[in-house]
Amino acid sequence: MSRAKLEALLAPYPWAMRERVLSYVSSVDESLPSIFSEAGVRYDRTLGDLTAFVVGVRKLWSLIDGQYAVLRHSLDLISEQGVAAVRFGASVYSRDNMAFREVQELRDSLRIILAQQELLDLMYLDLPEIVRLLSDGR
Amino acid sequence: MDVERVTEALRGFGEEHRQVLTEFPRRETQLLELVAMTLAAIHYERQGYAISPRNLEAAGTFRMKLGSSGDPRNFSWWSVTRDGVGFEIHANLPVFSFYGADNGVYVVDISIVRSDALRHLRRIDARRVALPNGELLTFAEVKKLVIYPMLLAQFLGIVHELLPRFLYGRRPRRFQDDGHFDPALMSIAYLQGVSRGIVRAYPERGFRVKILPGCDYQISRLRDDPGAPSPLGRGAVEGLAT
Repeated sequence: MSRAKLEALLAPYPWAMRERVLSYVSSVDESLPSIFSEAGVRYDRTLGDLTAFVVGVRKLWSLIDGQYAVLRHSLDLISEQGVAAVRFGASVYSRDNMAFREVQELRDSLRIILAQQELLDLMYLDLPEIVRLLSDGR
Repeated sequence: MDVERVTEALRGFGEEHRQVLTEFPRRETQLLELVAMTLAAIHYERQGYAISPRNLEAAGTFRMKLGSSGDPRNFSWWSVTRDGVGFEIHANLPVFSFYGADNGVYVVDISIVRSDALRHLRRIDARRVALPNGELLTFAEVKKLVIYPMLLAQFLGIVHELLPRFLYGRRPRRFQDDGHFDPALMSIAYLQGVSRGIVRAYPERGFRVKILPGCDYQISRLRDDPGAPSPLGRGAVEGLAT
């Protein structure tokens, strides 16, 4: 059930992102019984489905947040050495240009949505912790 | 949690930002190269080297070389110097194989080479040049893939072709004193379970290579802690903690 929801959710996203999220969820799906065991929660298919859904959302967040963090932190580190911007072919990134702001705004917008949906704290938890929280009725 | 509501909200987000999201895969490849280059440069900075960008474009723009095309002399690189000793860090530099007689050329994601090495570039054909193998000191490959056994095997194959002494011999003299890192495989993904055992056995097999999963996390760590040691530093084969 949640897998179908996840696929519907991902429909507008680029193929590469969809595949990354869905293949990650598939790999987690296979390990759910052991993750439940580690969490100390009795395995249940419905809760497993919900966990897989949250894990998919978490993967989506980590892709978008990770890209922003890598760009920001790399630019911070090399700016200390006198590099103001980095060019890859026609793409240029600097801390104050449009390309950087796009990545930042994308991440900030997603963060707001996750907060509105009361999911943001789940994005920073490991898998057994997610299972435990969902099992407690989140 | 209301799955229906979350689905609608995140689907709406995807539709609203479709234009920017389309850039995601291309940007990911670019940033992967940036992470590897930055980690290599900061590695030498944390070893006490002065690092400085060279061959910048106007206004301090670092021009990264992407892929195999283009003359390496037209792109930016890092100079690292300490106590009168210097090296250079280049991206996507074509390098001749160690064997040499086959004219094999491998484009290395990040290569550490001797100072002024680009003066020794040799022509492969009318459009391409490559660096003689003796100019290459060490290198790093970077991937976005989970580090599965086959990725490790592929990486060892590259080490075998370029710097086989790191598999079958000793490190070059002064290699460790100069603060170099062993040939490294970096990934933004994790080290898969079976791979952990394989990597753990590398020291007893005499393989001097570095496996570094979670390299995006390492960038954040280095940025947040100016005193943090380089994850490429001594301790050689590990990366198992991340």
